[in-house]
Amino acid sequence: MNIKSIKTWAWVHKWSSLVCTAFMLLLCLTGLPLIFSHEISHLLGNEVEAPEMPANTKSANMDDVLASAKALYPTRVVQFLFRDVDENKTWTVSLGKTATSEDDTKFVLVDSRTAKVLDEPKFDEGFMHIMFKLHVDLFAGFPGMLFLGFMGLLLVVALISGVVLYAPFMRRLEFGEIRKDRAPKLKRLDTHNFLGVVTLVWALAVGLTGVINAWSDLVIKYWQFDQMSAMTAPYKGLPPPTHYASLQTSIDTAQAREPNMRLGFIAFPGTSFSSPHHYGMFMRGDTSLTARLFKPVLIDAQTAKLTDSREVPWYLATLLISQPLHFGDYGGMPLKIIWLILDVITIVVLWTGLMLWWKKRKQSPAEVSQALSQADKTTYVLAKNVQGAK
Amino acid sequence: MAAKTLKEMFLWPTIIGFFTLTGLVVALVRDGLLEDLSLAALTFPIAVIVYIYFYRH
Repeated sequence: MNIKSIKTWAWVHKWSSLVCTAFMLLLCLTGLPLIFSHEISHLLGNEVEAPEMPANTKSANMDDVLASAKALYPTRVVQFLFRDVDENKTWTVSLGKTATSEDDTKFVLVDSRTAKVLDEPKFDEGFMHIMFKLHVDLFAGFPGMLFLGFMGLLLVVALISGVVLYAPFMRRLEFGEIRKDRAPKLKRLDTHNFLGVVTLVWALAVGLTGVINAWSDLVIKYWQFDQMSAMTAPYKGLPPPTHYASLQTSIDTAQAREPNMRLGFIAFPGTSFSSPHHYGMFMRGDTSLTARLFKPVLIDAQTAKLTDSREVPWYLATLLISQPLHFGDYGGMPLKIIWLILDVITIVVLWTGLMLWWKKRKQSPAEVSQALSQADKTTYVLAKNVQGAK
Repeated sequence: MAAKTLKEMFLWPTIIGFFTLTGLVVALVRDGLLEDLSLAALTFPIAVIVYIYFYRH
C-alpha cells in the first residue's frame, strides 16, 4: 500500500469515525442497561411475577384472558396480545384509543392460567424507557431511527477503514504489543488498534444488525404491502365485521394449522399486523432461531376459520434474525455478560480513537510531521523500495 | 524486528474473528451442547485481551 492510499484510508477512517463517535458512545452507554432490561426491571420492582403453580396447571380460556383486560378499559380497542419468548405464565394485552393509535397505550398483564389481572405495566415511562428511546430514535420517531441507522453505517465504514489501516501500523509490532513505556500517544494508539481488531467481528455484527433494525418500520410496511395485502385480498372492500368469533377458537384453528409451533403474539383486527377482518396469529418454533422467525396465520375474525398462512419472506426473516444478534438475548446470562464486556471494550476503542484525534489536533504541523509514526515511515520506505525495484 | 507480511499481521485477528463469527451464529441456530461451545468461542476475544494485558505485560 503506498503512502497516498494510506492517507486516503486515514481520511476515511478519521471522518467516518468523527461523525459517528458521539452517537456511538451514546448507543454503547444506553445499550449497556438495555442488555439487562429484564433483570433491571425486576430489581426496580417494576415487574410483577405470576405466582408459582404446578407445571401441569391448565391454561385459562383466552377469551377470559382477554375479557379480564378489557374489563379495565371497556371503551378501548385491543391491539395486541403478547409474551416474551421464555414467558409461559402470563400474557400482556395492549389497549389503544383506536386499533392503530400509538400514544397513550394501556398495558394489562394477565395470568395465563387463572385469567386474573396481575399488573398494569408502564412501558412508556421511567429510566429504562429513556434509555430505550435514546438508543432507538433519540425521541425523534422514524427520522431519529433512520438517522441512527446512518450513524451505524458510518461505524461500519470506520471499522473497515480501521482494518485497512491496521496493517501499516502493525508492520513492526507483535500482535497485541502495547508500547506502555513510550509516549502516551503510542500506548493509546496500540490500545486502540489491539482492542479494535480483537472485537472487530462482534462490533461489525452488532453494528450491521443495528442498521437493519433501524429500517424495521419500513421493512414491516413493505411486508404488509407485499404479503398481508395479498393474503387478505378476498376481503378487500368488505364492511368491517359486526361481531367477532371466540378468540380461543381462533387460536385453536391456528394451532391446528401449525401443531409444532406455539403462539407468540396476536395482532387484533385493524392493527398494522392484521387486517380489519382478521386475527393475525404469529406462531413461533421452539429453537433459539425458529422462536424468532414468526410465522403468520391469518384467521377470519368472524368465523374463526383459517384464511391463509405463509412463510416469512427473506427480508422479514433478515430483520427478525438481526434482532437477537443485536440484542444478545439468545444465550441466557452468559451471552448477556459477553455482550456487556464487549460493549465496554468498544467504548474504550471509541474513546481512545477520539483522544488520538484530539491530541493530534492540538499539535502544530511541525510536531505532527515529527510525530509521524514509525509505521508510516516504514511504509514509506517500503513503498519507495517497491517502486525502485520495478 | 523485520517487517511482517500481511499474513503474519492478520493471523491472530482472523482466528479471533472466526471464533467470534462462528460463536455468534451457531449459538443462534443450535441449542444444547453446541450452544454452550459457541458461548465459549465468544469468550475467546475477551480471553485474548485478558491474557495480553495481565500475563504478557
